[in-house]
Amino acid sequence: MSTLAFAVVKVAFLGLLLLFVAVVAGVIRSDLNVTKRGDTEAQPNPKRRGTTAGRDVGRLVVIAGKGSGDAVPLLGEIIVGRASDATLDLADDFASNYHAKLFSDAQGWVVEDLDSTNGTFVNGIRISAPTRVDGRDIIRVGRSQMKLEA
Amino acid sequence: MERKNEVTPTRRGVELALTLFAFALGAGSYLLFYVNRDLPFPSIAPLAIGCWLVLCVGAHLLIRKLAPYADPVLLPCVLLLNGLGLAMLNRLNYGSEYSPAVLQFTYTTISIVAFGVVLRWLGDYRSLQRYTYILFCIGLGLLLMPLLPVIGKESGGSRIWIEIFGRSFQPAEVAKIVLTLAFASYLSDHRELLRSAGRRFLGVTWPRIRDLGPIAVMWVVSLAVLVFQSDLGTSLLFFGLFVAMLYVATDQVSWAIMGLAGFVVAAVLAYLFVGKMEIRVESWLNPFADVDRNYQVIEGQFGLAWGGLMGRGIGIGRPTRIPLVDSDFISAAFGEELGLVGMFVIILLYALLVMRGLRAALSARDWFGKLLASGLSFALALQVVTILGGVTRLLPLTGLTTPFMSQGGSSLLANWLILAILLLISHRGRAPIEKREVPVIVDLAEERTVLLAAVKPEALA
Repeated sequence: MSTLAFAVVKVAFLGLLLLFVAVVAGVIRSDLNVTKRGDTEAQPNPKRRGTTAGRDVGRLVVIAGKGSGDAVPLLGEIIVGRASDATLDLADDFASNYHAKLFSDAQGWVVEDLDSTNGTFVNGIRISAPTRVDGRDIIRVGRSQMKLEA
Repeated sequence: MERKNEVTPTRRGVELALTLFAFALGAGSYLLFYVNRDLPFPSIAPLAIGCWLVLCVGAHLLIRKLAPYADPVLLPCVLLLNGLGLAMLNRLNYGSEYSPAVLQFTYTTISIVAFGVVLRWLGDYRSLQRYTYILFCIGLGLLLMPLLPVIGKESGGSRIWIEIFGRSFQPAEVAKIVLTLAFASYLSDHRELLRSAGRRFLGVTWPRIRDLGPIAVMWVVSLAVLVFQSDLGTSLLFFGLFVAMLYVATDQVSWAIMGLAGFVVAAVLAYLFVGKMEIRVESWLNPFADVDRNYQVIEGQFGLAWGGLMGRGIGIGRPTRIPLVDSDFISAAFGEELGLVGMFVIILLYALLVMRGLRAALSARDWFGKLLASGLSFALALQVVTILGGVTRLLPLTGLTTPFMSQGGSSLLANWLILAILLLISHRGRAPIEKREVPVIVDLAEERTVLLAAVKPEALA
């Protein structure tokens, strides 16, 4: 094999190795916002705070903890947790990635613990089954407290 | 928003594409040797490449079937490392009557089968959490097994092998997994205690004396390994693993400080009383003082220097000059033939594995899984740092294998099992929440109202 061909092959192989790492890095990057893709299709992203959608329906407001003041509109199903793709993402070390879920049925809102490490509390009581909540109840996840607002 | 989790993709297509890419790079490096040397392809080449393709795709299909939501980049990274390792072993033993590459290929096959078995039968890894002390005893037994008469075997100055029916095996490799399981299960049970009890001093919370038991036991065991088996690498690996997991579990710096102090004490003791350590340190700081004794380290250095930035090209270097280049020094062979760039790719692959392992730990919803994933990732990281550091003379050389690359069945098997466990943890962590059973909604209104009356004032305060 000629010297030139040898050099080209050598560099090309190293290039391919680097390409592999780059592709893997790309996959990891796309992995970060994988779940965001579905959001745009059906409904407006409830994470966007202060949109008109947020005013018509009630809100879930963080009233104590690091993210105090954060709110998400009460639409569909709300996942509370530390994960970036949780509907309400708490910057709370004591919350699990997907800590609790809020959903509504004909009679109102229900909060359910998602096997979280530290548990979900309603008015200071750790819940062991999906529990109905309304505007009077304080939901605690990790060190954050939140409540429903009309 | 209720549709959100239905679009959580499994990412298996991406994994297949990356798997094929990794397969092609492994096969390419195998063939490049013959091209670069102007040799005809061996008659076994189509068979070897065919089998490698079957193994790669087979491993992918196992994940697709058994852990569909697992991290998509772990397997391809491992396959690339394993493929490059196999090709390098073939290259290093070209022309010799008996090639360890064939044997290593057999071990790879066995490892991937074992990988499938773990994925299939372990399923919910949390069931292992019950057997804390049994696991600990098994792990300890495995670790100290080479000290037994008859089956224990000494080689290259370290007593870390056992030999049964003419086959040698390094039990420490499997002990690594068993002990990580034991630590994870112990710490997930005791973390609250270890983290909260104790008094503050110098701005750090120090644990109580009676909680020091486990770390003391590990310290003694590691020291025993160091003194009686003369193996600094294994000793460092196990103690480091335990301390790292303690730190992860408790989030208390004091454990890390004590671990580090304990390690320093052990290292000084070893340096003073274990003759081999002095030689190791000497060959690290000043290898050229005794060329005959430090021949291996020196040849490794020459290999790396000769490789330069881009390497000599596969098959063009002279890595066979280095003693034990098949196992401990395989990274020096890569440094020589693929250069600094190739070495960086290899290091990056390990870094990606460790990073994704820690990512799996973050997404795990239970403490056992969290500790297990972080422990296994940390063990991998520590092992890579120790051996690559030793080869490049950043650290004193200690005989550990380069995961997935070095010749050796026990190491390969153990690392594939680690991969299986990491994939299972990541699968559980990434699977959409909806896939799990939703319990029946109960209306607790009645009881709650009563409780509310009592609790509400404080809760609102």
